[in-house]
Amino acid sequence: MAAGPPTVFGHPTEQLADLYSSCPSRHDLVTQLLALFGQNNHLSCPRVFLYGPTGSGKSHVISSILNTLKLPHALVNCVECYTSRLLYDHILNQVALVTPAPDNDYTNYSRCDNMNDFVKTLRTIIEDRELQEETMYIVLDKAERLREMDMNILPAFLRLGELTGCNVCVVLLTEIVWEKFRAGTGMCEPLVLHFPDYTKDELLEILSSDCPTGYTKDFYMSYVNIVLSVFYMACRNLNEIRHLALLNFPKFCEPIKKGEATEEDVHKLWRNIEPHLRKALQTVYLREVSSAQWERMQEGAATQESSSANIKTLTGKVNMELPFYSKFLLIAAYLASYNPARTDRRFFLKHAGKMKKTVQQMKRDERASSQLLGPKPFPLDRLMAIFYSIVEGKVAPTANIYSQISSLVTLRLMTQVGSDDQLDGAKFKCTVGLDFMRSIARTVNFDIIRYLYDFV
Amino acid sequence: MSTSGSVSKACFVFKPKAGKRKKKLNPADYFVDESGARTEATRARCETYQILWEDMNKDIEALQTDIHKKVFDDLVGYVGSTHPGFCLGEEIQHKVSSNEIPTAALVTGVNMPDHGMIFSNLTSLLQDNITPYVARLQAKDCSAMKNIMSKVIMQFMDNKELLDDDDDEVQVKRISPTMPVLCGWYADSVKRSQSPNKSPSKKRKTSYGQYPPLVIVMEDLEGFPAQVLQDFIIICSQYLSRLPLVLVFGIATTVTAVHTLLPHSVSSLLCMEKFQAQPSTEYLSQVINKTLLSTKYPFKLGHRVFQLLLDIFLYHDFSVVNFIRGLQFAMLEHFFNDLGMLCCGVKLRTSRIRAMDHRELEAIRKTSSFRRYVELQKPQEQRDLLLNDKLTKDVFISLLKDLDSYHTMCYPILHCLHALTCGLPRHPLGKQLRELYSLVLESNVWETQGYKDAFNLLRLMARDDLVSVLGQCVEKLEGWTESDVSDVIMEVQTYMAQLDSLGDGSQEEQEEPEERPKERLSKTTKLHDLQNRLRESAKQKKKLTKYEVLRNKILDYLDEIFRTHLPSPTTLPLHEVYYYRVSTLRRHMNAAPRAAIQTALSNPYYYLQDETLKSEDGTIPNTAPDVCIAYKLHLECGRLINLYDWLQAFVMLVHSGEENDGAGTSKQNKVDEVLQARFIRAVSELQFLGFIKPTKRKTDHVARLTWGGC
Repeated sequence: MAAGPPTVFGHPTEQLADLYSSCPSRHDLVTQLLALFGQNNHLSCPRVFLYGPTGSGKSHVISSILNTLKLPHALVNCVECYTSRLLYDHILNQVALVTPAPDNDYTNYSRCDNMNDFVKTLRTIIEDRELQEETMYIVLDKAERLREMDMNILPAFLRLGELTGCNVCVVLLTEIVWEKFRAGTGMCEPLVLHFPDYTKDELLEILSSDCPTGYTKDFYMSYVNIVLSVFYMACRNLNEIRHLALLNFPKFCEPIKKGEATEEDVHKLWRNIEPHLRKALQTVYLREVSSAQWERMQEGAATQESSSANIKTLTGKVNMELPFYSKFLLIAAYLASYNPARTDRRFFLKHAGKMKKTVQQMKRDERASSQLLGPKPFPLDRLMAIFYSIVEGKVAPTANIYSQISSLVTLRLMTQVGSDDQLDGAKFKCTVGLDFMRSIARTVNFDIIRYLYDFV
Repeated sequence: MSTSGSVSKACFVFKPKAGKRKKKLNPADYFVDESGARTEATRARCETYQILWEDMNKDIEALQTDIHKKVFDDLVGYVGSTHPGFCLGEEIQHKVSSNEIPTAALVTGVNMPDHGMIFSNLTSLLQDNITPYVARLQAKDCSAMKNIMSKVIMQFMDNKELLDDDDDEVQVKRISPTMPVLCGWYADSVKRSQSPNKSPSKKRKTSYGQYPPLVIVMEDLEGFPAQVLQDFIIICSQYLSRLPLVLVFGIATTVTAVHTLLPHSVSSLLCMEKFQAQPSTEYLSQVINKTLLSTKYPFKLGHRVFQLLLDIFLYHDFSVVNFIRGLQFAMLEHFFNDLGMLCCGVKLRTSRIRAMDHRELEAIRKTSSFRRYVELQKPQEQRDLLLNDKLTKDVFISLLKDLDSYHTMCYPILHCLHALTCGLPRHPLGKQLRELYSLVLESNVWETQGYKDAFNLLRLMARDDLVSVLGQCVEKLEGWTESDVSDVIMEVQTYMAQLDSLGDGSQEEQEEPEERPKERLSKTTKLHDLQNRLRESAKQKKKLTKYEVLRNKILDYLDEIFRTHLPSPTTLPLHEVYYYRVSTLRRHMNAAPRAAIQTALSNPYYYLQDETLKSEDGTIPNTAPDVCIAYKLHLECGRLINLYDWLQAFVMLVHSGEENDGAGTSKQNKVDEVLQARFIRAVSELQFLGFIKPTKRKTDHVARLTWGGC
């Protein structure tokens, strides 16, 4: 299966060379797939199942093969197809080379409502395009979504070759294993291929292809090495590392631009960049800053040296302002969510007497700390009762107070559970964390810890 | 409202009201006098109000665009720069390696009602400068994938820019809302905008770039269903090579909201940049400065109304829009009043006073501030003021002129006092100008404890601080061009110059008196002597340094200025003409529907004003509406109410007034059908009002939904 001969399966050499160079570190899989597909007029494997984690190059490899070798195909992302009709339309349009445009009034190739129509229409298109001799590839990306559609779709796609009587190869791309697809009857076992995570060396190889112009490849390689040494433990996603590498590269080159170091001065460069990468490690995956903002931040950090505070404000430290009563409503909601209802007497009644936790109670609490179990639903009455007992002064139950509750729900600080009928005693949950709550409570001088059963 | 779950099983018929169209009322129709007639005076008031409000509204609108100018400019610049290398050519397609969607996260703050205005401003700004293609999405329209896609595509393709020169109207309804459709449309519209045969006479407002980006604004990101949002972002990123998409997230809470909604795999498809909008408190201060703290508009708010509007803002919603609405409402109410007649410019006011008849004059004479003013005059003048209309008119004119001049001086001086005190520890006179203004509106500010505290603190101020604070005062005063405060500025500047010229001399003197006692002390040896000396020196009033003398002088001067120019408007005669002080506004602005319903049910006399309904001891007479009786009875029950017992009690109560003869006992077994129907109706009404609901926990019972009661 070596990729040596001038024509493999009837494909010209230049195209193959292009293909291999566009898929670094995936040569084996490309070769394997090419072998599976065979020559274009061969009857190829009718169903292939490719799975692997995100960023392992599944879609890239498949689309490179199909595009570079100019094979007839349809490439559909199942996320886009929220109804089965859209799925049919997308595939048929691509197979028939129809794109919706003003010329055709943005219409589809043909109206297609069910699997039966789809199979029929597909056959006609293939005949119209005189592709009977060639293999038609239908790639379904994010194929796990197919399971949520009509029951017949997945089995039918797996047998599309049989149903149409044409040379059709269906490729499913997904992140989960084939076993999770088995449901119902009529499933045809596909050929399963696994895309493993890239190894560190493979990552290096791929990243080195990003080398910006003006720098030697070796220099960029050494930089990527440093980046990987910092981030590899935290994150192996190719896209994420790629993003981080490009984000921090200007900083890495800064000493060179200033003339303080040369490209060979690896150690010095490393010392320069290392703290910045550590900082970037805190925001991995967050993408809260664009590269331009990141650079500005780094510049700011260089000038005032208080960068840690700077980063904190960016990674969403609580700096939210809420109206005064909203804060108390939120506190009340939190208390209602995390305190058992039977303890309300003790916290909010003036002369409830000192109740002590018994040993038995303590043991029970230890097993089920509500902080660990998460918020519990509470009725609106309880929220209001707690609100009135914690808020200072007399607050009239005006429409404004109630609208603040729904405002908090739209802000996702609280969620409504169960029925959405307001008359039926709506129930809510508070969805914010303790840290957030404490900072909110601090702004209104309310010692929330004293009111929490878990901390008594 | 689900009628099917009603306690009463019945069929409800709702007849459509045929042909009964609402007669549209002109705002002027509401302006009527006590008898309900429209007169010349009411018309004049209405006109004055409309002119005044239009002016004020224009100013506020200008402010609205101004306040967010900086962040909007940044955002528009960002959106314009997001797709620099975008190209629709075939060969470039694979070049776009990263599939990150440029995203602007606009943190707007939690003032929900204002968001609509912010985003429509942003949209029009984007459309003016960057791109004609802007789609606005709201969470309530986007509950499913289908809705969000069709919303986006409808808004893009329905674009007037596209359709204005074509005759072939795109029928969006028939098109399936998918991304390929959008791609086809975009490629086409780009081609069309480039084609040279476009009529040159038709000029666009501004020239967009070759590939104007498609901006999708999500106004309330928190409200979007997470799954829909994730899918939508994934789809968008798929088409990034063919569509220059830009997302704008309106985030009310914090940027972390994005991460609670999106998993890593999706959020890594975004390339976010954060934009922080101005906090609404800042906006509010500017609105207050522009409208209330300005001599441009004669209309002012009294202390209680102002405080109420502020409270609603700070305690309830942070919404400037609501504040402005409250302001408008107060203004409208003010002009309903006869006094509103004079709340206008000087010339108009003078001519109106001249034209007043006796009745109208009497109305003004009755105002409490004017009566107070009259009482201070000599008896002869008092009689004239009350009887001589001509003289009264002259007095009115001059008094209102005094009020005008009071306003022209009051605001700059108010700013000056604020600049002086806002930096003091613990803010004795408030941190914000609005707090200080509220104090001034309430009473004479120098009588408050805060003012005394502030001046005590000022009297301890170090020289550098004092100089800088005075500098700020001068700066504030110089900002006022329309009022004549040059005297005050001159005076303060002279003092500042004196402070400067004190120079090092003062420090030397400061040191001298300190050293002498030290020498004396060092010579003494006996403890007793030392004690005596110390006691003496403590008794001896410490000699003030030059600086301290000067400081006291400056502060005395300023104190004098504040006392002359900052009296509370409530102490001035005829302030009712400008200041709206009626506190019924609370009922309108901060409505309490539940309290109103409960009042109506427990005390029907309050609303119905029927003498037979009057009761002293809180009992309900049997003449009360059925629903009130049912309500009263249900208050006595626990969480679950037995319907049969309730009915019996109801029947008892209704019959209580009648003669209890033999027929009553026989009725106990079988209830009159009419009464039963009335009871059922009352119960359904209570259910509709949300006091009870049907329950399955016990047969023939309903559950109470409110707590409290008897």
